[in-house]
Amino acid sequence: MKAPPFFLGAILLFWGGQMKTLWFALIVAVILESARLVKVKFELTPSDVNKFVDISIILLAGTIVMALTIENQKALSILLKWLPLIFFPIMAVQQFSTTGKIDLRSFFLGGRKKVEDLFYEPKTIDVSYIYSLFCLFSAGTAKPEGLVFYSAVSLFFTWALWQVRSKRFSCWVWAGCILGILISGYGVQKSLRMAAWTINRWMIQYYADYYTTNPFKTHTALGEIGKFKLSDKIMLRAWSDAVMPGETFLLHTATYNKFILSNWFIRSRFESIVPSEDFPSLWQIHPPVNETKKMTIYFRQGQKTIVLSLPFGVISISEMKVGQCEKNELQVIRIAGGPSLIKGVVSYTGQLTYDAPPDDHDFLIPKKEKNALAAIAAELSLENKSDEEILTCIKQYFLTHYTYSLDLKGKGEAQTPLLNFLRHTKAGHCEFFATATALLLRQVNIPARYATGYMAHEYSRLENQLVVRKRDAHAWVKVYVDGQWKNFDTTPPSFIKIDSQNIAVSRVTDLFSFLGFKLSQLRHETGEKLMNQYGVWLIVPLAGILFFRLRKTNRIKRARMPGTPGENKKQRPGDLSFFPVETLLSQKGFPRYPHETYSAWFGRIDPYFGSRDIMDHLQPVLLLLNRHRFSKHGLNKQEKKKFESCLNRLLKTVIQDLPLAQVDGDIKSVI
Amino acid sequence: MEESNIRWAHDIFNRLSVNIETVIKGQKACIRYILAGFASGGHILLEDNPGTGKTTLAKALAKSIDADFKRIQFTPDLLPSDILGVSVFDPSQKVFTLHKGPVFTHILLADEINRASPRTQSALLESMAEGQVSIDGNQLNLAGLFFVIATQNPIESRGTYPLPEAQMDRFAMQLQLGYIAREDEVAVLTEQRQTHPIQTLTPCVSLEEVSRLRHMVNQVFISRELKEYMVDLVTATREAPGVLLGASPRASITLMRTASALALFDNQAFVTPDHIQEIAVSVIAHRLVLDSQLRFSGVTARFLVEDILTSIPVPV
Repeated sequence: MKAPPFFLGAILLFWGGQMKTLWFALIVAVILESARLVKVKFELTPSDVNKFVDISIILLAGTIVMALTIENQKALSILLKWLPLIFFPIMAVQQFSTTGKIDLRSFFLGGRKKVEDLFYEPKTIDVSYIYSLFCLFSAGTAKPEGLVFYSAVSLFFTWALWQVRSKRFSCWVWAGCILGILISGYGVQKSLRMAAWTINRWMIQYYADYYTTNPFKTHTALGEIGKFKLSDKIMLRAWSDAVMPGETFLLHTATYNKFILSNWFIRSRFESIVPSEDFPSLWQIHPPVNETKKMTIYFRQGQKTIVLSLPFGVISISEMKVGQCEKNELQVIRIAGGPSLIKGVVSYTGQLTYDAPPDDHDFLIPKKEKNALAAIAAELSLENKSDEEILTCIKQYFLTHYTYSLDLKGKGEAQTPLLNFLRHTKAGHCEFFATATALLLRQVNIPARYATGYMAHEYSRLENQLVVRKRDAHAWVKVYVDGQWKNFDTTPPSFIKIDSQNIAVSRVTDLFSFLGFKLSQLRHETGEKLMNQYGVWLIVPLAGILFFRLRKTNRIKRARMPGTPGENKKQRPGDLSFFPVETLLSQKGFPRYPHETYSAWFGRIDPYFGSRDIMDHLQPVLLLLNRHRFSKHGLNKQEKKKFESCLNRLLKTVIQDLPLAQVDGDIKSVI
Repeated sequence: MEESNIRWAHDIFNRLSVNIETVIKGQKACIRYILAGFASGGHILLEDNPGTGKTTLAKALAKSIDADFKRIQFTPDLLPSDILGVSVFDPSQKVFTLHKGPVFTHILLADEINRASPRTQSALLESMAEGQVSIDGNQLNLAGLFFVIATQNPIESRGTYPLPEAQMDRFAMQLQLGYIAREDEVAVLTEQRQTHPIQTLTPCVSLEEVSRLRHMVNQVFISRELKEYMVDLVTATREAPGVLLGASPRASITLMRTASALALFDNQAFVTPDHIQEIAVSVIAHRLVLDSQLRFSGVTARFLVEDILTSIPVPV
């Protein structure tokens, strides 16, 4: 099945238009379509075709290497983009071959050997439609406008199908059917997209609620009953010069300011950060300052967007290869579009200098808890104290009267779970302490916010860095005193110990997690670095293979044409030869076949000379030649001279005068 | 080899050729080949339709040489002992005496050889290859000159058995006479009006001359290039597609000897490629066994060898 005229050209131009590489596409299209106009065709043996298939395969490999070297994340799309160019040699070899088809076995290394089989039957295919399909695939990666792309694709399919339509039905019936199919196809793909989009949205919402940090809302376990579940899954890894074993470290994820019904909320706007032009992996969060500390953090990216857990006062994050990075005024930083393991080298001050100044929301207290909080504030007589004293007093209060517990008691007989915590149980986990503290501070007119994040404390000797597990999640309070924000944590410090006791760390799981981390690191960090530095060198062996293959397949057996000198005719210096006669006669149009002896040759062409008695002149020369070549002793000097003089006479007088072989048909009849 | 020797050998050939041509008209080429085969020490198989003069040619050759001549008419009931001979008990002497068969001769005409069963045909194998026969466990040598000329009808004819491959290989060449030209046939009619010319044929070459001729054939020079060319030709038959059994090394040796004989015939002390090409089909073709698929598609062994001749470049 051959593609209709200009089909390939049109589809290539469409590809070029979509990919913004119209010039390339134009050249390729002109070359391929010129095969229809130009009469030059090549007779190609299977090994020639194999050679071109090899070129394509090596181009493919080379493009993969280049794509990985240049841009790891977009390797696939780069590859798809250049697909039509990669397979251009195969397409061109088909267009310019005499058969117009390509043997299927050229594409399989195993099948190539069969070509040498004598009774080999070629299984040929026309690759033009497959090539067109590649072009369409490639064009589809350009994120084209839906309707334009769909109509173009429909046009090409209709064009191709028009060639093979059944003649039994009239054109109108055929066109109607195609139109119906196209319309229904469009409808179906549109509704499928809608459905996929809707399901996607649901999924995002579902995951957002339960699995990742939502920067706008956090659900606390305040109202739940049972045991607080903890997991020892490693969430992130951090390494820094400043970190000493045994020290604890707060990593901030998100901050909220509004407490409603066991949930903390915030209303804030994210602004995106533009990466610096020179270093696309450097994200400047705040203007550079002099004194910063550095920490290297590795995150796993499960979802499209994640909120980072970082130290306080982040100035910049470098070596982070992500597509997008945003921050809000509460120092929540979220990223999107990156590999599964993200590395970030964070420069930070450790101060809460960049948090937005307090506003009305930072004083809000829910009505239900207001009385209880007022009672506690009165009990501690906080009103007359300074801010510093209040903080000490509150910390002391929680430390002495409350205990840390992972048991969730719900709201019991009280109105809310928080009231239950404050009045009856006096035991809970960090979310209770942080919520209660924040609200209590607001009760005495000190702005306070609820912060979530991780308490990094575990230094892994195996990994030689800090590991942060899911159970290290923590909540605390950001409080505004003396004109700046401070972290204020009232949860009893014993909570780390209690958490660790409750969940035994499995060394085996840790080991596997570490191995997985190392593998990811190898793939995304070391691998990329190596590719950047040495990836280009991979081209060298590829080029070597290409050269070798081309050289190897270059030895094509050519059928011997009449008159071409055979191997045994290499003239030795000083040797007698009949070669001049042979050349001359060959030029006159009487070539000798390699299998013919001289006498058989003259016997064959003799009738053509008509009355000329050329054979009489030839016979003695031939006799001498045969004696020279095949007898035991050859010719003596005199005979040699005689041979040469005879030969010269023959050349000058007889053969020179011979007419050219005039008509093709004549020679054939002689041959 | 001296010039005079060559001329002498050429003379012998001419004498024989002229002598046989008085009986067989218009078969000059065929006689040339038969004489080449005879001089090179091989045996010859003539295959053609009935009545084309096979037996007459064989007899004419036999009669031209002053040597013992015997003839076996092969029939379906012929037995090996009818060819080789048999020990018969003599009651008076009370001993077994050997009655030698027709194989003990110089020239043996095996007429209609493919009418005997393969069992009988195989009796000739030892004698043709080695010049000896084994009877009752005794090895008996045949005469120094032992030449078998066999005739047969094409095996498609009724009442014939195909010759075993081993026996085919023992024949130096298989020749086809074919029908003669119109004028020649008219001449034959004229001559045979009174008597058959073969009855007046007299020997023109003695036994000693034949053995000297055979000795001289082996002295003809063949260049290494041409030896390689002959081996290439024979090897190609073994590698050709559709050939079940290619030509044996015996074929190369025979090709060399017959080509040498032809060179002597042409008054030359060395073989030229023309001689090899001239005789190759007759020497090689009958030894090949073709695939049935190839046979049914109309390819004969002669075509195949001709094809090989045109595919291998010749040293010139």
